[in-house]
Amino acid sequence: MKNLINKIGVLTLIFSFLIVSCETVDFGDENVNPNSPTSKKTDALLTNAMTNMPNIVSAVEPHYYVQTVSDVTYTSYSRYGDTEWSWNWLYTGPLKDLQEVLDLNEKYPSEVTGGGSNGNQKAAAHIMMAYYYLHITDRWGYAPYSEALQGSENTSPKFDSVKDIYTSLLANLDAAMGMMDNGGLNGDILFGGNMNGWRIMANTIKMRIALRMADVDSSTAASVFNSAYNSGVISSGGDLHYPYLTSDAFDNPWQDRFQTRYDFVVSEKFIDHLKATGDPRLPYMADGTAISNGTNYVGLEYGLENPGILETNLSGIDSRIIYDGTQQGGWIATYSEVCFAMAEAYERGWTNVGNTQTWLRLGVQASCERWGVSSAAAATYANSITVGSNAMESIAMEKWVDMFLQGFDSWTEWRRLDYPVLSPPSAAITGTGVPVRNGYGGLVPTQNKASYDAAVSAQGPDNQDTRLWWDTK
Amino acid sequence: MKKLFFNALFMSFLMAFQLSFAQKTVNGTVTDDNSVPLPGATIIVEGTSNGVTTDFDGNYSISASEGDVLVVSFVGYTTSSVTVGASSTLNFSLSPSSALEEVVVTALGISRDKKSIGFAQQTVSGDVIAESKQVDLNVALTGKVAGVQMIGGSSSTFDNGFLRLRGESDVLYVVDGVKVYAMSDINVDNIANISVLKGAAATALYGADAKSGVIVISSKKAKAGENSFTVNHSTSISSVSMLPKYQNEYGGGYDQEWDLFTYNPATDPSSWSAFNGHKIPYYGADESWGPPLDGTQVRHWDSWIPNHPEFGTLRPWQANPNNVKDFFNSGIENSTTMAFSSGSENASVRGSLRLIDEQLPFPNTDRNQIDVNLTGDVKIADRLTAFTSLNYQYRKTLNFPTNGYGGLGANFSQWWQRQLDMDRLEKNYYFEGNYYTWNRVSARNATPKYWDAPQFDFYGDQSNQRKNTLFGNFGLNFEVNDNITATVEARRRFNSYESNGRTGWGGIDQASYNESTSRYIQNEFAATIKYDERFDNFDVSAILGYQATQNRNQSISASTVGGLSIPDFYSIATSVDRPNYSSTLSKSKVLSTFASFSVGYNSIAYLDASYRFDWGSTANPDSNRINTWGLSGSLILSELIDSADITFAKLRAGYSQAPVFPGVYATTQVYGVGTAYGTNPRFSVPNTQSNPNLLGGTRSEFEVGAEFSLFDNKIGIDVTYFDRKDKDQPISIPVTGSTGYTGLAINAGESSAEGFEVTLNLNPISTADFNWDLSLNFATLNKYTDKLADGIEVRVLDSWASWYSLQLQERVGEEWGMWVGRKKARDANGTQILTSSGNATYDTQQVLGNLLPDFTGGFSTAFNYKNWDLGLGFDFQKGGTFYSTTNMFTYYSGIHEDTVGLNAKGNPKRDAVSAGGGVNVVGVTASGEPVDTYLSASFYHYQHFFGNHENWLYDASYVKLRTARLGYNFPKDMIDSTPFDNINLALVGNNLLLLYSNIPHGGLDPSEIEGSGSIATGYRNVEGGQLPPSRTIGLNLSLTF
Repeated sequence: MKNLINKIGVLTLIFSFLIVSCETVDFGDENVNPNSPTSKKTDALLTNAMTNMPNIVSAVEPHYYVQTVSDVTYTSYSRYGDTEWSWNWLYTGPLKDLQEVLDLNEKYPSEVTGGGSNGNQKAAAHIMMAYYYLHITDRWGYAPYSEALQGSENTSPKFDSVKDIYTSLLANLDAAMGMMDNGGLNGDILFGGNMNGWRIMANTIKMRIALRMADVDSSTAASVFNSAYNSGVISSGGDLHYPYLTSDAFDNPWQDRFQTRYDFVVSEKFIDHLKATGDPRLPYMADGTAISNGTNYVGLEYGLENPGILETNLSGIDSRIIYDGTQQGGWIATYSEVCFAMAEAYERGWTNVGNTQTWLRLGVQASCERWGVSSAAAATYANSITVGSNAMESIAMEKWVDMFLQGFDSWTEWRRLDYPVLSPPSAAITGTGVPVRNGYGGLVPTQNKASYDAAVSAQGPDNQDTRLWWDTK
Repeated sequence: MKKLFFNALFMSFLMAFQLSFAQKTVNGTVTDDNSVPLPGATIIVEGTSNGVTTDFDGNYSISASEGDVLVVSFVGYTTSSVTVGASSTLNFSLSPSSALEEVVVTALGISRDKKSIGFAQQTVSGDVIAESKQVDLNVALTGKVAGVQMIGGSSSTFDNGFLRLRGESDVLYVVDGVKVYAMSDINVDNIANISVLKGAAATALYGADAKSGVIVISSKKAKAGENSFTVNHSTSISSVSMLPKYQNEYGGGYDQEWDLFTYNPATDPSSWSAFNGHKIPYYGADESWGPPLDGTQVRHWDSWIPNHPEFGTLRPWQANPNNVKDFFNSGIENSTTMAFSSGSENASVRGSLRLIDEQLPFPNTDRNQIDVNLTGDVKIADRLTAFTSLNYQYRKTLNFPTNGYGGLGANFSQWWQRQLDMDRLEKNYYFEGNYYTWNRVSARNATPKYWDAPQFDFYGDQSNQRKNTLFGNFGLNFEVNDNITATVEARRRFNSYESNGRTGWGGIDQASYNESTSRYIQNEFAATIKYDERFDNFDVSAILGYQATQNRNQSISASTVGGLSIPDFYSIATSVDRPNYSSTLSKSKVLSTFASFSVGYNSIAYLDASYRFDWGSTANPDSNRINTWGLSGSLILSELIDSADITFAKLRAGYSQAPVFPGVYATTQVYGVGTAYGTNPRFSVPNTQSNPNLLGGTRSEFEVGAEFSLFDNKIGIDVTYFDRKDKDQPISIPVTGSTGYTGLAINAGESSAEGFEVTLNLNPISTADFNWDLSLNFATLNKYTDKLADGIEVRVLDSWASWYSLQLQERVGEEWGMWVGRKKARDANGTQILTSSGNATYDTQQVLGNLLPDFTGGFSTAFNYKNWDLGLGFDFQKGGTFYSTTNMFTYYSGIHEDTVGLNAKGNPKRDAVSAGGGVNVVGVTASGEPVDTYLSASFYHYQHFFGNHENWLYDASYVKLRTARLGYNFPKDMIDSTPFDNINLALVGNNLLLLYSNIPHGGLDPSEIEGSGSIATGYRNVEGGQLPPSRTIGLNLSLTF
């Protein structure tokens, strides 16, 4: 009897075990993530993409390539110890966010109008992407572009040539300007939704591309340059700078760098040049040494292995910039750059507007005023400038001074125009000269090997000495 | 207060037990065949609840009448019964039951005959675990289980060690059925028994959580007839046992030239004119390439502190070889456990209280811990028993020094001025309300350059944590009939952490404050029905079960931004900018049913099968069931072979499949939310692309094993081989950043692992007075990557970009865990390729070694002589590599002993190259031209060593004397007149001696390397800044009433 009860019991249990063993169980919304939103907020994506610009406009690294800033202590950076630079923050950060803005506007046009009109959102996204992609290709050369940002769809995007990227960016910028309408744009921390600002930004990028390709495709360059100039570029007083806030998360990165440390001073080469030319910008770019109560300007020889000198005996970067500069620095593009570009365009025979000397002086005057020199002093100094026997050298030297703390722009201009004459420090750790390119990040050769190998064989060795497409000399 | 409480308690128990029972008693001793006393044997008067247990000498004393039957039982021995006669002395000699009858704990806490199980299992008794008086269970387990590799935390801190079982670190700890949240929740003193279930065949009944093995812990319970109160107290002292090897010939600075003070009448007080010409060390340097320590009179850092007696003084520039050592104190730990047990046939209860107070060898560190554990069961009706186990822990910690770069391990182990006098730093770093540091910017500027004084890390900066943990179960057990038992059980665990930390005012970093609270809750309800019956030659048993699990984890954290607005006051409310605030909640549910079936034939052959379904909320709703199963069998050879030498022999084999669920919320794409820019919110696309179709992957594992017990249990051998395959694991696989993501969540990857586990137990000597046991555990592990995703041959597991992209990789077809990085370039002959000026050149992306050890294990030996016992525990590892940041920077900064000495010319290598100093470098240029030149020592050490990964990867092999214990049991006749039944006194040492390591110059302990980067929780592989290890020596007193 007991056995029978047992058997019935066991069979019942086995039966119930099988009954409850259904394929799926409905857990309702248990797996809905309560911590992060899924809402299609394109304005927040656009804002986020723009807040990555300080990594470019206030970067330290390119100042080593134009030798305007010297390391006091950790000198490996100024001796080109770092050769591999990751671009992941660009692709996974702003570029992916901007691609998401484009994708959402394509897929759900009516659901994302909280960010502004679809046309304006797409235009702004294209222009910002052009800004970031130009930075990438001018820094590393060949780079993923046409097959980038596709996630699992393509885990080994090919590298496009600088030339192809330039061509596509120009087309996108023109298309972007054609998409603009009066429908507003939200989340725009640069222009507050003013689409004319975006038009000027697009033309500024076009103008830069034109000058960069001048030595390899002069005729295209000339026509791009003129179309940008005619469509509207930065005018006097219209300098574009990244809008730093006072809060720690969004203030000037130079301020953060000096919060607890004192690693950078102005180079001897730069200070001596300003002194030799009697440049009135010197006290606005650099501080007098502490030991002289701010009266003497002493730069540090560039690229020493062991400077062995206290920073109190040296000129730091102007303390308005590094200590409380919320608005100082962070220039994206300026009127003086436009003036110097016009001087070069005249010199290259692309334009008949003004002449080389006029533009050069206008540029110097705008630059001095931007750095804080009084209008009168700026005018006096600007009018003392004459175009030398090598006009390009004169333009390049003025750009080098003007673009102090605009590191990446300054480096690109130096690679293009080859002045001032710079040589690598004797204690250089890597390379055969001043870097003219950045090496791909260490993860690229492992994670995207075939594309990497193809790019290296087309472009040249993956080091800091390989010239880019447009860098012909 | 705590001590007062303890004393009062102690006294009251003392008095209570002095009331003797004025009854006639029966006395005697319980021993084994060899007259070795058996402590803890149970003596019950048959048919009553009257019972006692023997003391440590096997003595017992029980009140009984003539004609009563005394039943004596002891685990592992045959039960014996004798009728009480006229004599009041009855001695028992118990024979060991054969190994066949050893009972072990298996999945879900089910007791099984050891002989019947077909999978690898190893038991460690609670007594063995408690012997070393370790608070950290993982450390206490070190070397005691084959296949368990302990990865030590810093022995000088509150860090926990963690362990890898068969190479995996996601091992589940189960206490009385409850899956605990953290290993540290477990009170080591409260463990009766640990059963380590190594493979998935053993753990299939636990489902997916348990695929990497389970450590099943049974808490101590009162035995029937037991009535005891025990007090156990330990006091131990810890002291730093090893430091990096420092040079003591040169002081701080970047070069050997002295700066001279130049009086500046415009800015300096006129009294400073006397300082003109004083020699000024380079305070701002955190390296030691400075002037030789030759006694030159100089202005040390504290001679610039205004109003200080040292102000303006010159003192000699001289060596302080013990400066780092002088920073450390002696740590002290006091641990007291009190436990009571009372058991009868119908009810048993055991309670314990443990109090720990611990101070590290570091200043201003403290940890207080209280554990309360309660187990009990009551027979509430004829066939109905209720049971519970409750465990509470409170832990309060002040300051957590941690290994790692940037903390104290980098200050003075990596960046430092060798001449600094630690006593002076301690005396003078805080003066008249201001903090000062040796690393001031300059004579006139006291601002810290890179480092605060090391003391600031403990007094200026502070961190606090409070932890509250409660876990336990409550259940009913109903015996339906002799064959069927039904159990229902509710389990809950609750962990809460409350932390805050501050960066102090007056240090190098902006003052800040942060606080966080987090809670981790798991509820489980389980119902099982067990069925056992014997049919002729067959033993059959079956289990059927249902389980529901709910997890809810919540954390809230806040931190100040942009500094604090009120000096010396720390709160979120005084944040200068809008504070960061974040809260996360993660919830999940799992429903499960499971069944297992076992059959044994005539004690010769056994077969076991278990099957489990889990439905998980984190999986794709269209396919959210996973099926786990295991099959194992064993054959008792000793039943078939008749040999006097072979006490026991068994062969076993098992196979299992264990799938897993994807992580919580891994299947849906969301946006990340950043700090708002002004009033503009910021969203970002996450760096890992989500995948709605993510499935659970599957582990399959095959294992075979053999167990032998030879020559009357003198030799015991247990050998296991396992072979494991992981397929389709849901993981975030790194992809190239230009895809817009750095990781994709996919079902990718196949890997396999295999290894041997060997346990050897020897009992060479066993006499009445002397016993000697030896035990060896040994395991190998090989793990291979068989496949990654389509088109992906290499997966970067981790990388450290700041040091030139050192990577840990897995590559298809190769052993898992390869180091890949920079290596000095060499030509075909192996000659180093240099630039013409002697600089090193490097080849990148070079395979430099492997993370995984060749084998790991432990060795222990125990001697018992009369009342004395001596135990030694060793553990070892062969192979495996780790990266040492400390060594990289001790060379870079010139504080390592190897950065001084003579060069090939016989001159000090720190002399200028022009003066015959420098370091000789020899090699060829890329074009084959010979190079033979000298580089300045500081340039050489930077140029050739910084970021040269090849140079800083070290063999992680070691042999360590982990524990030693010398104990004495006071003889019965000595304590007869006391209220104590037993007194035991022991001298205990932990982390005693690193006997072997393969690191040139030593100074680092490869057995306690910290983790770094995203896989830190699983593999401690990058030494970022090791705090000096500590040795602990203590006294332990145990009193039983």
